[in-house]
Amino acid sequence: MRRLTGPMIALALVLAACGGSSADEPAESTTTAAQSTTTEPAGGRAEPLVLYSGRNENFVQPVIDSFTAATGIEVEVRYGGTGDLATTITAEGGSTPADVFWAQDPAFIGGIARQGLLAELPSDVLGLVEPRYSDDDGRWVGITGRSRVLVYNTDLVTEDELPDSVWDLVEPEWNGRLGVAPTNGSFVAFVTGMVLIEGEERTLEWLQGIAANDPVIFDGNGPIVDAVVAGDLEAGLVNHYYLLQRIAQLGEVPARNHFFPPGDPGGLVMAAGAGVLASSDMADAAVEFIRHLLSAESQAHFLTLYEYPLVDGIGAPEGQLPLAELPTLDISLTDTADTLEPALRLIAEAGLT
Amino acid sequence: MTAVAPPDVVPTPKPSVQKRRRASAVLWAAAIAVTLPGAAPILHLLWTVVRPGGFDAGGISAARLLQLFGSTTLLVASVTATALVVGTTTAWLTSRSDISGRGVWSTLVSLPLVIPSYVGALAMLGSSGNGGLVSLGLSAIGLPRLGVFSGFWAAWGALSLWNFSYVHLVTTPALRRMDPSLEEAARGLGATRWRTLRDVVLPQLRPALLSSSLLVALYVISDFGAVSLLRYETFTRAIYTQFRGRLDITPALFLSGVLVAGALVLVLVEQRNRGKASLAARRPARPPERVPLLGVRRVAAYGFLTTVVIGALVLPIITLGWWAMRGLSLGNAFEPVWAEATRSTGVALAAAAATVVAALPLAILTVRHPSRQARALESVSWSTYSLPHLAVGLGFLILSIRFVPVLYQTVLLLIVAYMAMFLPQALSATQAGLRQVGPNLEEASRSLGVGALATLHRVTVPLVWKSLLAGGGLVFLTVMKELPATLLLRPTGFETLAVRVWSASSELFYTQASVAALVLIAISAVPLYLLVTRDR
Amino acid sequence: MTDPDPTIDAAIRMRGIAMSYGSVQALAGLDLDVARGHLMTLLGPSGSGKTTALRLIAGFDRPDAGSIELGGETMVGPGVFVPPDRRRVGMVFQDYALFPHLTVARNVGYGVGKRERSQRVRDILELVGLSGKADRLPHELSGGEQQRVALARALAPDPRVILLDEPFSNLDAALRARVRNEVAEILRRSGTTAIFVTHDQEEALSLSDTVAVMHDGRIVQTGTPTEIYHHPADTWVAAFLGDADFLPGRAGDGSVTTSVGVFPSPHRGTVTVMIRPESVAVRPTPDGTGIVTRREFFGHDQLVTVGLPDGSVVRARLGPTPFLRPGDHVDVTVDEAATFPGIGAN
Repeated sequence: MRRLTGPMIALALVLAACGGSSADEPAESTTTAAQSTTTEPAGGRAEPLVLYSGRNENFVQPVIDSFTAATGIEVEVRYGGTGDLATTITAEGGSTPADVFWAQDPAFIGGIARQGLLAELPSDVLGLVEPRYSDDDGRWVGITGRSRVLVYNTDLVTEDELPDSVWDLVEPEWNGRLGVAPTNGSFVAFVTGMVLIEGEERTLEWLQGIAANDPVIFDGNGPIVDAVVAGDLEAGLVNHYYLLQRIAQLGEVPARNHFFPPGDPGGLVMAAGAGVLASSDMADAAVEFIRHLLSAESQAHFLTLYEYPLVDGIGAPEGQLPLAELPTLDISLTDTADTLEPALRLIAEAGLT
Repeated sequence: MTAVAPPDVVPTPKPSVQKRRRASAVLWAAAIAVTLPGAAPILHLLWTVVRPGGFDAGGISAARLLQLFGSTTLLVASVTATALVVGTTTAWLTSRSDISGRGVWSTLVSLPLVIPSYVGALAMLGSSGNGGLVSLGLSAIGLPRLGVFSGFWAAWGALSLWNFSYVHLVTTPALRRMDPSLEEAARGLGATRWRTLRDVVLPQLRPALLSSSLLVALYVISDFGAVSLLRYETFTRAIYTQFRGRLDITPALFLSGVLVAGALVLVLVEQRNRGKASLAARRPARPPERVPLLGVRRVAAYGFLTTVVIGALVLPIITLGWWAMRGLSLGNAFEPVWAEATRSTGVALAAAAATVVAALPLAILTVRHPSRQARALESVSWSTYSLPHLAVGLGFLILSIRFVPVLYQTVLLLIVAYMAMFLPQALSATQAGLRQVGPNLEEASRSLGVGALATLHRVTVPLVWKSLLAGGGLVFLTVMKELPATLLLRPTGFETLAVRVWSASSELFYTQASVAALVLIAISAVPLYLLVTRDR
Repeated sequence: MTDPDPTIDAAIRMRGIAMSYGSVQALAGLDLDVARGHLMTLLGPSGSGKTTALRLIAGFDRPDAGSIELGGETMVGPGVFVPPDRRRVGMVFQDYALFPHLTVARNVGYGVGKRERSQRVRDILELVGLSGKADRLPHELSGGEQQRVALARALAPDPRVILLDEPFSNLDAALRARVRNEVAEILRRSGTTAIFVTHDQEEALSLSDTVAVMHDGRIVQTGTPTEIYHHPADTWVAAFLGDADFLPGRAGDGSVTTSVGVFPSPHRGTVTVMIRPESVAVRPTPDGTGIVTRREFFGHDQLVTVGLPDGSVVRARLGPTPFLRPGDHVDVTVDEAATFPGIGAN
């Protein structure tokens, strides 16, 4: 038995090395400045593009695969929550191994941009999308649009109970019936919007009201929607496309999306954006990737996920209002980066995180 | 399996044996070198808290901190108490009573250790709620459906079920080695069985009970996966929440620093009380007599064991299997997890080997050349072991980004982190082995002209390799299951089985999650089974 | 404390050795010489520091102060410490410390270079009389055989010195004397310098060429067995080496008078007179001054305790006869006695 120890250790090291990604020595890539960063046709390069994706793996993998097929550039993806990826990038600072950051919402990516960690995108890329859905300074561009909604179970919540404003949700009749995901980037973006409109004090009031109303706390939007569909939760604050995806999977379910009226903070329409890290040494390939995300083919794919393509002419998800007609909040998404810090602090103060 | 427990089981050496043997500088250097990776993240965390500007709770109020502290303490206390009761009962039933199939029951009751608590929590979720297995079963027999398992009771149940085995594994050998003459003396003096149990048996079990309850308590503090899935706010979960939901890492580091400071206090307190315990190392001349259980008691015993095995082992595996099969039949896509399985196994093997090798100098130092300084060094590694893996992972993350960026997000750093966190598991086993092999053999070798390193190779290792293997097996098992540090430190794209289970379940891809979980359980079962049946 | 003799051709020379463990001083200023080819025993009660001294010679511990020379080469001194594997000092441990995973042959050949190994092992096994057991494992041997393997193993590399730490204490009493003589014989035949450590005075006196008596970390007397037995340096050594009874007396003009006779004494003033039971003769007589208070019969001899009119007590070691009983009157005569200045046994 002990004669096997040596070979076993060797085997272990081989296995670990094989399984390890080729991005084992990320810092090395920053020293090879002489390396060409122009894209090559299919035929392959040694250096993969490193993508930090706050988007769900199953949804975005097809788009990533088509990029690799078209350009021959391999993509190494680090999946996570937009929040923890943003925290990671912030901690990594200038030595981040990431080349592209694809966020689920404008707040965290705005925070990254504010720190000067994102490079300015070329104007042709920015021109593909309406300016209001991108960063004013051109450091990130919106890829898809989504609206905040209240998803609710039709068997458990009647039509007249539906709130006209998020402020209704702090009332006693909503005690214990609402699910929220306070660490989720979209929720944070919604709160930044609220701070812009209502100010910090009022926002804190709302947050504390929710916290005191026995909310059910989740880590993400998906679990909220599943709970509502199953009837284990009555309602929740999520993004619009989750329910639509479930309906496509499961057929008819006893759940619906409720849109808040225009001007109410609960109805924020926002963009999931992507940006190129300023420290990346594969900037050209990174930009190429973002261009790919805004290509007709990719945008059409997002349509199948019930998100709103932000490139003109692709259309709206089946059965949904066109983007321009969605009730929304009239704020600059870029400005949400300014209220990010206060929003995060307020959420913590209210005891939701 | 004292390999899992902190070393309160060292017999106090007799004065004539307690000679000071000076250790070579090389040995000290090696021992310090392997302890350093464990100390570094702790020190860095503490420093980030005390430096100016570090004491930033990021808006978390003192009230909330107290609330978190309270909820964590409640969970720790209740789970530890439950685990003690359940684990001691199963240990007693399988080693002292006369029920049949004791060996099989003991193995079955130890096997739940292959199920990480987050997988167990996942299975719990899967069996509850609408559409869950238990609910379906209940509605099939006309009973109302259960709500989703979540909150305190769910967390208590999950952590008790998948941690009580530690108590069982540590208490069983202690029960077996007890000298029956003490109990016989008590019975002879007229004590009832209950009184004998209370006054004679339990006090002798004290060191085993203490060490295993500390172990359980530390696991509960450290747990982040199960409490996240079951939505119970503990301190550790709050750290992760801060990490997810803030741009600045400082609040997460702050909370980690606070938790580290608290855990260190716990460790120090435990060490101070440890020295008074003792453990009989030899088997008594006669095995203890078996207590016959008759009638109702016998039925109750079988019932109890069956319930425990079903709850901790059968139900979760069936739930996962059912999920996997249902998903497959619905045509849900899932990726085969061969790559993840290879990575998990590979890195676990590498970490186990590295940890066993690293533990050797420290073990030799503490067993052959005991001194206050050596004990202090050992305490450092036990301190790291006691800390929540999430906090240690954060410490390594920050440390590597700031000082050794070339190591950041590499498999090497991951293995170093595992080694730092789990060194005591290999250390305990190696120390036990070294104690059984007296120092005389090594001195004899030296007197015959063989140098220190050659003596290690020709005499020491051939005699203790079984203990080394046991320690390595334990580390392998623990690394396979490890989640939070792996999530934080892994290279981009380096998904292990544990990470796959976690990411799949957070995205609600339960088919994927269950497949990965089942493979993880299957691979872990091998070393656990070997470890558990080794002594029989 | 006797001074070492500078004329001895020393295989081992220790000077000024001091060693403490924490607050306990194990050795305080030890000086020792062992002549080449001699069998020396360090004799003393537990805690006297004898095992510590042995371990220092072997190199397993380092003294706080002092020097050790082996065959003229400095092993321990200011700025010098030769590790145990380079000293060529063989050691036989109390529990033999045989390598359980190696055969007898492999154990014995462990310290021998590859080239000479097989021949040397053969020769040594023959020397100790274990030629037929070369392929056995240690646990298959009896206690006496294991001991011989330990000795063989220590002798095989042809060490300068061989050290034996209470080597016979694990053997049955019946076996002990026989094995003792065999080992002494083997050592004499091989001509190796040897140091024994023991607390058993019988062992020390029967085996050695020289005995060094240790007490509280010091050597209190060195000499041949006869010398130290009959002329112990003080009452403590006297009592340690064998049965002795002590009587007070007053010495002057070259002699001291006691209730059992007059003995020569170079001291003046108060002295303690040491009487060994084997020097005492007892004659039962109705008007004898002594009264038997106790009798222990051992079969081949007896120990009789006699109380004297002045209150003192002596013991006599006699053959199996005469048959005495407590209460019998006897006359006591003493052949010889040693005297020490001062009062009492220390």
